[in-house]
Amino acid sequence: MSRKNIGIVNYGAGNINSLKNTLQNLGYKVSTPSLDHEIRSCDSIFLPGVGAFPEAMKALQITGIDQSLKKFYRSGKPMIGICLGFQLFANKSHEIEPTRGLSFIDGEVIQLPQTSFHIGWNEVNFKGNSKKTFSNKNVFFFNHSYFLQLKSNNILGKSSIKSIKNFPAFYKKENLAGVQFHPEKSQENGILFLDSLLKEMLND
Amino acid sequence: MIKKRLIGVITVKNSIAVQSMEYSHYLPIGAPEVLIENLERWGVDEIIVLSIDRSQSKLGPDLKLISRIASMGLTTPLSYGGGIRSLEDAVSVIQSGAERVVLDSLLIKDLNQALQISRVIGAQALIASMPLAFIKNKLMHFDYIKKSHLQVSDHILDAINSRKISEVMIIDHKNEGLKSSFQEELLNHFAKKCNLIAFGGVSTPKQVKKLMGIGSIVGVGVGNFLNYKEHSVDLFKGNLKGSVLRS
Repeated sequence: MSRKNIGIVNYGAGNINSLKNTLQNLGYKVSTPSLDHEIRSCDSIFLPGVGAFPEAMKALQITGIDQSLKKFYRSGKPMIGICLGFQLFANKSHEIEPTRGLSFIDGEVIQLPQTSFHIGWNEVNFKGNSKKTFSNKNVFFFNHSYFLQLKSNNILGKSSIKSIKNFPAFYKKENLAGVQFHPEKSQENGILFLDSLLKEMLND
Repeated sequence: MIKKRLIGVITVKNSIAVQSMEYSHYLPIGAPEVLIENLERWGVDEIIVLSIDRSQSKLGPDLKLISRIASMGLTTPLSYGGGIRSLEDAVSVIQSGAERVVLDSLLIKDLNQALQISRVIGAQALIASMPLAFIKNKLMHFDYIKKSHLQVSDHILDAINSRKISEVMIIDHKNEGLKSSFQEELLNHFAKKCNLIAFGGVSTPKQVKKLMGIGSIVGVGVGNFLNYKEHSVDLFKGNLKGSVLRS
């Protein structure tokens, strides 16, 4: 059982409880840091997110957490974004109004075509290590209407809906990972995914 | 491709789960957490908790209940409705452990507030709950606080059609709790492009299968009828598992 300290960054725009419980059940020590020294002291951090991009970025900037996240990213320690948290890693978002993101990933957040909502359980087509664990029939829970558009060899999972095929669902490059779906709300598949991702990123 | 959802709906009154019938009679069942634990174990696709007395009592959302549910380690998507009066309430509901909020009385009382909630937490996190009925062949919206029927508001329909609200839970309130009685005609009033959840009087796998075949349906809510048998979720999903519904 790992006693690594995982921080779920608390910036007021996420459902922290669910993720916290899932990680604790996996045996991690979990905190919900919001101050710079708290974030720095974590072995790995999650950036959750429910809501709209501009409001979330505003919350990060007002609290100074955006600067803490940039420092953490440069430290090389594992950093994982979930849903809106993943999108915040982008250069920019076009949700509601053009808003700059954290610029950890060279990409932009745009609306799903035909103003679709992607809500519910959907398949993720994995490649890399996750492909060994999950077949294409495995489903995860999504809840979004914008997505991170990027061209990269580091897209390790893609999903599709009627209006758009193969948009990024899982990204991983060095110490940074992001998922468009909610693994903490994807029952067994989600727990397995989080467990294997954290083990890989923390070298546990 | 995206699956449709079998949704377990839990009606809560005075923080106790109840069997609700026709929006007027309630029989106590027990702690909501026990029902939720069962639904999660049986593999339901989503859980909606509706605290039906919070708006009327002006108590605000039941954040303690949501937190207790979240602390169970629930890994099934949770939506919550009941007592949400403002943006602050909606944000508190999300922070306490729900993925999405369900709005009912606020749509009628203050639609602008509901739209403000949509702007901040995102339309994908918002479900409109609309108890409907045909009164003298006209589709009417039931205001459960005032216990009266209103014309379906064009402003609410505009908000739905302009994607400020992602999904609409159509509740056949007159048949709620009654077997095999959900009226499909209630769905016809909404544009085909709308994302609808059917609830109220859905009690059999056959009904679920028929409703899941309707294009605008993204989910079917089943209330107390899911609690009668062990592994009822499997029975309700039937041979839709793996194709229309998740396995």
